[in-house]
Amino acid sequence: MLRPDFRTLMLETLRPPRGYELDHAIGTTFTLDLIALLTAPLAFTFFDWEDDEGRPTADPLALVQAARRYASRVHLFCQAGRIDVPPHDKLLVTYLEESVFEVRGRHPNALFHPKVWLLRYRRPAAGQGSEDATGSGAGGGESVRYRLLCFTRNLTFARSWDTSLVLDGELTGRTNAFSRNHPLGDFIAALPGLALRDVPERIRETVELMQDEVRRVRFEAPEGFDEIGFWPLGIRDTPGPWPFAEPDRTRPFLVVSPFVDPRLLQRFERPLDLRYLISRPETLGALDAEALEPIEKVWALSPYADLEEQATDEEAHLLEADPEAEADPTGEPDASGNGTGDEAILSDDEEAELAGLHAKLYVMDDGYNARVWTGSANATNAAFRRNVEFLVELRGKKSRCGIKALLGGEEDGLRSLLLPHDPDSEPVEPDTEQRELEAELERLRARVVDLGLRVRVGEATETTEANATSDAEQQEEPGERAFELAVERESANKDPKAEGQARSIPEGTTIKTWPVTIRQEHSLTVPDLLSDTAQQDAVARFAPISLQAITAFFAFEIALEREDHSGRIRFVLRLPLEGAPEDRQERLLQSLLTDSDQVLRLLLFLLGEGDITVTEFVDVAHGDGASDRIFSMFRRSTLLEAMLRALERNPEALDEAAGLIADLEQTEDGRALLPDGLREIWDPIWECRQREREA
Amino acid sequence: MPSSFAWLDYSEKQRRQALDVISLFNVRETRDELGIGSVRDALGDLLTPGTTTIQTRARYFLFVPWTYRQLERERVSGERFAERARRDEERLIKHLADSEDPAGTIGRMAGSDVKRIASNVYWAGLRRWNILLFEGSQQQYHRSIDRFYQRVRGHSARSRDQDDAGPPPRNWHPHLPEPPDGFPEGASFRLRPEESQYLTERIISAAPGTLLARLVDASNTWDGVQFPWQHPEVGSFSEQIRWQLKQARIFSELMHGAALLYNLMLAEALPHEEWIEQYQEEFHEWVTAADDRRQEVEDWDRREFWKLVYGVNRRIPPPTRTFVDNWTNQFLGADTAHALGEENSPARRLIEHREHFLKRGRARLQNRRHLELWGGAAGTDQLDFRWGITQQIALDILEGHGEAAGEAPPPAAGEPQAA
Repeated sequence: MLRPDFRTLMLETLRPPRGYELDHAIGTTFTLDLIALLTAPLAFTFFDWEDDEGRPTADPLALVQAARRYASRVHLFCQAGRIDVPPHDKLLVTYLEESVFEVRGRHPNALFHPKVWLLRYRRPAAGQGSEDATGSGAGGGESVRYRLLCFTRNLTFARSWDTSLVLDGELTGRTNAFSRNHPLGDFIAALPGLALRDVPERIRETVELMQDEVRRVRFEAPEGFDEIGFWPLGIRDTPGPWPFAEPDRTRPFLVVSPFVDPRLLQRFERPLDLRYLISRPETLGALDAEALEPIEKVWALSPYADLEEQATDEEAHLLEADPEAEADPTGEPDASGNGTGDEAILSDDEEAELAGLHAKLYVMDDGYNARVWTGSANATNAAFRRNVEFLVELRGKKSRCGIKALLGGEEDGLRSLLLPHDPDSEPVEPDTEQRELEAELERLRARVVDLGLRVRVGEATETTEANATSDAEQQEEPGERAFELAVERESANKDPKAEGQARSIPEGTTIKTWPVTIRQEHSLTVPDLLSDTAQQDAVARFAPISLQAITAFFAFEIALEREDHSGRIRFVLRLPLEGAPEDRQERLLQSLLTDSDQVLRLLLFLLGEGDITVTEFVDVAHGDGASDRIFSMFRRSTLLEAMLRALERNPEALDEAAGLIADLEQTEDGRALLPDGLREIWDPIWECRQREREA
Repeated sequence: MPSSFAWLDYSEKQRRQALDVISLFNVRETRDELGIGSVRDALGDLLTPGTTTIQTRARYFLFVPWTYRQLERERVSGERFAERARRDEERLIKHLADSEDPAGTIGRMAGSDVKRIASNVYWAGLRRWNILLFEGSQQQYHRSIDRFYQRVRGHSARSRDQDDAGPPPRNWHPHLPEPPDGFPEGASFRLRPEESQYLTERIISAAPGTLLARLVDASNTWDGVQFPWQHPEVGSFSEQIRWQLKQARIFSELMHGAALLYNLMLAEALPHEEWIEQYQEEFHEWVTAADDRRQEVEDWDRREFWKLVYGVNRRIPPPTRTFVDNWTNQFLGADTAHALGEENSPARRLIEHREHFLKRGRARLQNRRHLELWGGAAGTDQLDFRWGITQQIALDILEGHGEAAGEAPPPAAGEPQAA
């Protein structure tokens, strides 16, 4: 079980089974990197998303197309106040506004922590002979498969040691549910109720359908396991449940967790028999020797097994490289040491997603059998008493999935990556003042989340001072519309609890905010944001802002300065957006497609069925002039050929091209981008396709 | 994707890096503690393109294409393609493990549980030697196979109608030799003469003028040596190769001192008497040798060196270059290399800064906890630019000529001799 070299790829786990397409995906995560969410839909597309180095494609056009097509089918629930600030030049995040739902746990201080995806794939009814294509179950012409992904990693680009559990299953035609699936259905059903704001009806219907259907899915256990069980935690009014049923006699128990709470360890010791603990060196170093004393073997993942070691510039190249990241050629160690500043920003050590161990795993030997739990729950009281978490239980033969099978040999098993923890090492004294400061920052974060902010979009007036200029890399052409984004509070003092006990703002606090589409340099300090007595509704106004930069994602930075200690946190909130122009997504598309050659390439890309691979495409899109010229020379005949081929072999690709053309035609600028003479070849082909569809 | 329980990576590239980390786990010396791995790999790619540290034997350059070509000939559908490939590789493992000379069998320990497979290890190398013609990752290849069959069908339809339909679509080099009858039954690492000939031609044509091409374009084997510049016939290598080897050697010798000093500093910080003594001794040996070679380093044209390195990899991080340059300057600025190791020397500070820059909070020189976890010997071997594996692969190929060695081997059928 879990040999270190048995590895899967994140996007590969999302990819539809052959012959199926994604219908809907419901995802959950604690922290969220919007760029990671943006690349996820690439997995649902037909185009290849890897470059020749095996990295997800850097091509923004591929991202645009995937996002355009799948944004309305991906519904992501994440902890409010835990979205990372994306780079300001990634205008594409706009496409995610309707996909992200911020939620929070039911209990006070509870975090929403699960990292699961439930995916519904559909195979359209086969063309002939299946009149009853309306049936939604396996009995109908169309067939439906489900997949549950249970990760230990959030939707971020973290490079830690995390696991992925993939459970694939077919929707059966039976009327009765599999009773073991009820907790999973209940978990999915509970999600909209945890959201900060009302979830739109359309999404509720999808959730309703999936929570109901998933109860009738026959999930297949991974190789080596025989049974599956689901353990959602924290979705009811009462804490728990406790997934490790108290056995009548002691059972050897192994815990893998990056974070460990000694109080929970006691719970594992009796009547379970906690014999093995695997964690991070920092975590173990901070624990009392007393807490670890009863445990037979305590290991840390060796720092040598770090996947970060040679990370240098990998991330920067995942997407279009941020020019600033590479603009530091001096490379004096100290100077560039502060380059990313990420460590400085991370304050919550519970989820500081650096390299190292991040998997969470519980293994119990039970006679000839073994039980394994994997999922989001760390070995902490917060996880098992308050948070919303999700664990999957797997059962099988001890020889395949017991403690020994996990640890493996000294040579090639997980054991080979572990170092024994030295019980005599002095525990690292926690810096209590720093911890207190971090806790204060967390309280401030929660208060900002709770404010119920919204954004009102208006036309920018001429007189607005241009101190917060748009920075979206579009020149302000004369006559281009400019906008104002006003961040507004719900009317103050609405909350009766707040009355009388006006909560103070700690000395030394600075709060800034800015739309994620502009540079942080143009952020505004909002001293009154948390003040209970603030009278005005608008707490910050940004103008003039270009149409492309209008966004519902607002970044916040809270800095707290004390005599010896300081800290800051940055996060994004997805705020309700009022008064935004309706055509802004189409306009955004145009701003990304700068000339008709690019439109042509995107069209070829959509129609491509192997003759133009992403690799070639990326070369062309970023590339040298030679291939550019070749493209121009052949463009008309190539496009016609590609359309004809698509008509014959892959007519759905034409529907996609039609969507793109229709979007561009909505505006004058868009029409100007369409390649010359496109209509003459496109119209007859599109007519054929429509006739075919009607037939 | 069927149900599974596994470790998670974000990209194929990340997965490869993770596998590298795992595979290096018992070979501590090769760890890149001072962050000069990108320069090391650039020079390795320059000298011996297509080899990697996790390869083992030469004949995998044939096993992998044989397996896949057979699947293509059987028109195994995309749905079953990846799984069939894996099953065939597992069968191969069994046969290799039973062969006379099983050393280097990938996945031998794990049998059918193996997840690290030879095709993945050799994929990039096969591409580099132009045996694999498909441009893309292995997974892309698996996914593209149905489209490939479609294109082949389209091509044969076209060639019925017209004379000039062009060459048929291919994923593998057309002149790949046929496997022995019954393959993988009885498979071993011993190359047949036509196979040696084929690989030699591939290398010479895909990587002309490189050290690797020179190594296989020979009739005699040699006794293993530790570094490529110790090859017995180095004098007969082309001027360009000799110059490249010299660049690699100077870099390797210079940076060895930094690695030894780093280990000495760690041992002193602990402190660990036995290790202190050991690294002091090794460092002093290096000092003596380095002082003897001072003139060579003074004459070393570093601008040319970096031009060479950046010519292979433009993305070497600037701080890496700065570190190498600073270390070289420290050496040149002192009367004797001994000064580099003196207490509070700028060279020691340089190393401390470098470690801090690379490891941040996990820097051993600044974090006692991480120092405690240090098990000694952190990257102390002198860089050999994966010479060990290159030598093995070149010797495999040369030995395959068998009795015919010494004579000019017959050209492979149908292909013109590479120039």
